[in-house]
Amino acid sequence: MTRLIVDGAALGYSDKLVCEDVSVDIPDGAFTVIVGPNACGKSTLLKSLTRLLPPTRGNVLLDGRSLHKMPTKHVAREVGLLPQGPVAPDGIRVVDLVTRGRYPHQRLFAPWSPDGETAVASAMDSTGVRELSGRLVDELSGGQRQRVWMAVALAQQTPILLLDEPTTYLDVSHQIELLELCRTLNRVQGHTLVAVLHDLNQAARYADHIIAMKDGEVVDTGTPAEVITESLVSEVFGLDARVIQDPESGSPLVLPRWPHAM
Amino acid sequence: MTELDFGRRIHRIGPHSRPFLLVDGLSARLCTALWVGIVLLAVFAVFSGSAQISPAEALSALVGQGDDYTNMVVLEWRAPRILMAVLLGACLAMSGAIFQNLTGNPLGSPDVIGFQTGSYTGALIVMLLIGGGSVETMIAALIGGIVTAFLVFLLSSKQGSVRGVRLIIVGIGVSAMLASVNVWILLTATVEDAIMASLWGAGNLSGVSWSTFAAAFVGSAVFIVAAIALSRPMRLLQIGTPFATALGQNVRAVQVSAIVVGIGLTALATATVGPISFIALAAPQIARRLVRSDGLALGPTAAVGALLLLLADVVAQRIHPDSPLPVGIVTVSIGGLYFLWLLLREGKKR
Repeated sequence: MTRLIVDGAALGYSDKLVCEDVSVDIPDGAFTVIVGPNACGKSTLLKSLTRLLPPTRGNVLLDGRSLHKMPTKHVAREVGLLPQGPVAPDGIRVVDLVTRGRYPHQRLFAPWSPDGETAVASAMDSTGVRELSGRLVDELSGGQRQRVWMAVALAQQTPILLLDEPTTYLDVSHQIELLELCRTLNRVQGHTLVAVLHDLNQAARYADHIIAMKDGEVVDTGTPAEVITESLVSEVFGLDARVIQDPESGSPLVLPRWPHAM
Repeated sequence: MTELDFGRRIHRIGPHSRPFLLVDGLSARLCTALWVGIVLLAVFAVFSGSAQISPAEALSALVGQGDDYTNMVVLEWRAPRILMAVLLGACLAMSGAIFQNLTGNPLGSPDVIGFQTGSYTGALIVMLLIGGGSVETMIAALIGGIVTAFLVFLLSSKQGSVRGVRLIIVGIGVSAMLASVNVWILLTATVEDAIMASLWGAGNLSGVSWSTFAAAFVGSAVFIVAAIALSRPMRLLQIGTPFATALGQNVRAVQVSAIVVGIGLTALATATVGPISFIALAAPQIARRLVRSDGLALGPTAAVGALLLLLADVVAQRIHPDSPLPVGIVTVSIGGLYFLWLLLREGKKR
């Protein structure tokens, strides 16, 4: 069963078409990672899975219905998104920011509810920011801030969660911490995750399912072991590399060739 | 039930087990204090003034036992004027908060981006070129403000989306052009007409009657309710269009409604009493600093605006007993000082 399907979609912005004809299935309950070189349409594809970017042709389907014809709030209860580089309003506290994630569940003149409070608390618990609750977001480190943003997206309580380059601007320990968090969300809480990642090796380690893209087209999909091969890395990224087995995780590990003498 | 740490005091409104609204403690205390201040100032304004009426006489008029003269001064002149200052101060402040939120810039207030200048142009055309009474002037001012607003939005929008700084710059430009049009129209008029028109253009609360107050109250009630309903969606917009969309918001609809409500509040105030600047610019910023809020604090903003305009009017009436000033002059003067302070502070930051 796949709830989220892109079916022959043409995607782009008013001035340029990025993807002419994309079709992908997002496997339920899996951690899917979209990889590809810069400007290959990764983020565009991810955005089309929310209501941010309607396809000019073809369809994006959620449970068999066209996502862009469904009411916005309805979609927001099923599919969440952590966009790239979100900006926190000045002087906002962690708890207030996380509470914004409850928006699709709130009613006009009665925004608060015990359910909402529980959801906010558990979103902060699972991202480990509960103890930062009353702090100002401006005072936090980059890694803490990204976990707060994750908590905002989690407070939305959607079974499907999309992450647009969630590790960008984080140092390596925070990148791993965030990916571990994603893995936990996927394995323990059963969220379907779709992330755009830059680092091929991180993608290979953490993904169940990989979508490799180049020039607006899906080149290959499958498990990391199926997709991350020397020929694909060469074809998609134009990189001459060896692919060996990661001694830690058993997943493929991409090692760019060393063109000099050792 | 899980207890969240809000980092400050929060009041839960509603049944103990199912509160449906959270109110910030500081914000609630501040609003109470501001409204107490407004009431005290209103009491002072109703009991004092240039007319020779003692507080005891004024009180007797308020309880319905005054003589005709006292009744007229206290009930027909002072009372509606005070209420009008409170109402329009709140309207202007809320409008300012909405536009500053939309543009994400403290300078993005309706008085800076030319809506009031446009209202004045509309009023001048009727007063001096076509000829018309106060009702026609009001309508013309309303139309002038709305047309200017849409012109500014049209010129500053790119692919249908409004951008903050662009809007402000276009607004200042349009405002400057309209200001010279206004001067030109004034120059074509006779001296008496020009003085009368200038008085309108300075923003004046004198001559407010119960009927104008009632009209303004009914008109603004719609926009005030809409502004309150829009405050949560607008706060969500602060985290950016992509996130707001993913959270189920129809961003375009919220922006368009906010613009309509913001223009409505300003245009209504300007059409009623003429252009009054500074309230829309400063009240939201003052309120934000006082409550340390993360954005759109509509309640405190409205209270600050009401207090500021009432205070400005009380000062304007009493600054020189023989020649009271139009309230707009007072707000512009205070506004100049505030602007200077804002610029100096921004300068120091860099």
